[in-house]
Amino acid sequence: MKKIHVALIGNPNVGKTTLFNRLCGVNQKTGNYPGVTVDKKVGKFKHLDFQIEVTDLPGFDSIYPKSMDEELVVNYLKNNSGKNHIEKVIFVADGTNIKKNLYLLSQVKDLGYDIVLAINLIDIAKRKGIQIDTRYLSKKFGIHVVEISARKGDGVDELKSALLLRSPESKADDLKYLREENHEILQSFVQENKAQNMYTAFLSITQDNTLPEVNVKKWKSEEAILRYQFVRKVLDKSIRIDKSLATDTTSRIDSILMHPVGGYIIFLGVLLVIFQSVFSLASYPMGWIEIFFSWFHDSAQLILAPGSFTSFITEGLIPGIEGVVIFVPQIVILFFFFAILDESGYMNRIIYLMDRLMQKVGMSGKSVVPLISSFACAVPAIMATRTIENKRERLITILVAPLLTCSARLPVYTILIGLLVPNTMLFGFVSIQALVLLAMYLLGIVTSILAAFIFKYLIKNEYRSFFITEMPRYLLPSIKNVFFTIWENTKAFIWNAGKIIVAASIILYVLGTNGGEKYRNTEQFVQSKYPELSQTELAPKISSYELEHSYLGMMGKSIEPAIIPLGYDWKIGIALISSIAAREVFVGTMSIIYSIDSEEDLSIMQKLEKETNSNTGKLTFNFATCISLLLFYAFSLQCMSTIAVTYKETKSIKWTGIQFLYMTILAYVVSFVAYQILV
Amino acid sequence: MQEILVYILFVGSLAYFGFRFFSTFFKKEKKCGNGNCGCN
Repeated sequence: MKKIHVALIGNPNVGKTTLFNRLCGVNQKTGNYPGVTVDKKVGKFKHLDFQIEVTDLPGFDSIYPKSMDEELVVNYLKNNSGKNHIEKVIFVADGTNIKKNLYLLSQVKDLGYDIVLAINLIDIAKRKGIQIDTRYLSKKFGIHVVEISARKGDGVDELKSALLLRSPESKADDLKYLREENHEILQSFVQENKAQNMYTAFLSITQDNTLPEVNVKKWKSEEAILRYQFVRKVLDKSIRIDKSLATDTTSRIDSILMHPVGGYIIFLGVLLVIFQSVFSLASYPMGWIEIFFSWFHDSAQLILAPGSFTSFITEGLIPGIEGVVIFVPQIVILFFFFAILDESGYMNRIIYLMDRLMQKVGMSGKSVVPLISSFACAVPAIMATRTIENKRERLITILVAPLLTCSARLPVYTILIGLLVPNTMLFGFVSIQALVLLAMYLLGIVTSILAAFIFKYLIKNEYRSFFITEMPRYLLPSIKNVFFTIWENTKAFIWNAGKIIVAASIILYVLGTNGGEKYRNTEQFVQSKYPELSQTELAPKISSYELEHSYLGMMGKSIEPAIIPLGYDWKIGIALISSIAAREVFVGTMSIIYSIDSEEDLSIMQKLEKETNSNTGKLTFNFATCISLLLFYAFSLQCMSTIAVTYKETKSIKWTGIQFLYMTILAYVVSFVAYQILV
Repeated sequence: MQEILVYILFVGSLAYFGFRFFSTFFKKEKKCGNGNCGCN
């Protein structure tokens, strides 16, 4: 009886073990590789006159191993000789998500193996309306292709017969993993080193650095891009998804949520529900936090001995910390919804919906993940762009990511929207404040897309990249994971903002309670100016004059000429300067300025509502100024950490500078135009 | 006494911002060594 040695390989979780058990039944045995804990399984079965020995290898994602078990499989495949010599390979693919498997298939094929592609889960794929052109795949890769259901046993006999056939002629493009100008280098390397084939030579160069003059990183990224191009082309011609044939629940939900028009409308509706909850649900705990801090402030004043430290605690530190803590309920609600979207599988659908749009503006679907994390914070988002191989797409994503509304903007937006529009309902159930907040988020999205579109024409591109994403089943979110996401993000918000706010509060307080000669002679000056007023009537005038002539007031005054055209006064100027460190400092700064300035015990909102502009005599936070400020914070890059991470990731002062400048100029111009039109 | 305390905190805060500025712009990033994160 003739013997054939077959290896069973594929990506993880494609049903290899189920197929192995189906092929070999109870004849399997488990053996350990020496020195490693990962096991391979060996089994046998008979078919016609052949005894077929099957080795089931652990699943792996790429020929470039990232873990020990992957390394084991890759080494096994690269050194195909001796008693373990493999004559045939069964490459198991997941019929419901074959695009993920074809990349690896093309790599294994290039190692020179005689492959039979077993497309598993074909029953489920058909229920999803997926139709696979197996003849085209067979021609393109030069392999036999069999559709199977390992669980039910369908197609397994055809698979066994296919193992005995010779492979068809390959129509695959040779060297589809290397750009033409490098072919000669590879060919001469093969001749000199007597490599098994071109791809093993390529791997020897890229994995073992055997040719030092080659830029290995570039070769690897070129391979990824060229292979994805090839896979994309094959997929376009071999896979058709006919949703009308789909009968499973996920597909039926998808047909609604991913409708070319309805999908976007539903997405907007989901966002509106989130923002409405941010306002309405958070208002209760925010009220409790306000009451707590008011009590804390009064208690601190009662307990501590009078003096500058006590005054710093009550007028600097407590309002500063309140400025952070009061927004925790909103952050919690926001991340609760983000976690639900992510956990349920809907986030991946949003990514897929946006992919086409992303391609048009010079980014790829891979940019969507960093861009969505930008809604939390631009810093991890910019770091997450490392997964984008294409340099131009990565750079564009980095440049536009800070335009999306991060959680630090939320406190600024909430307070300004609170001043801008009343808390009333449209049609009795849609909050106008939530609509304005939704509009601010959409503004961030639209501006980032427009900015990307412009950068597309300014930055040169070498080649196009492709995005392949997995579409998970819809699942009920795990409470543990939702809680973890909320906890991690809230902790990061409190800790990061908290550290800066406390330090900034101290500096702001000292600068706001010290000053030059005019500051020191405040009482004399005010008393001589208003001799008719009583001591109680003089108090607010004294604190106002003191603040204006403090070092902090001088700083605000120094930039006032530049910000008057935007509708701001020197007090807002102070907040603009202090929030260069981080946007959320804006609210804390406002709290501190008005605590130093005012004798009355009012909430920050009440103080801002009453505030009058010293230049115009009108209310400071009027409609035009609020819009102008909202737009300024939507576009300006007031975040030291983002500037730093852009510099780290691009390693370029030029691009860091361009990002800071274009956002600052955009913020200034848009706020200026808005104020001048509305005033 | 209270004033001295406030000024100590003030200097401490300035130093904190100075340190943050230095560490974000000038401190070298540690390399992970495996090349997978893109740091190499």
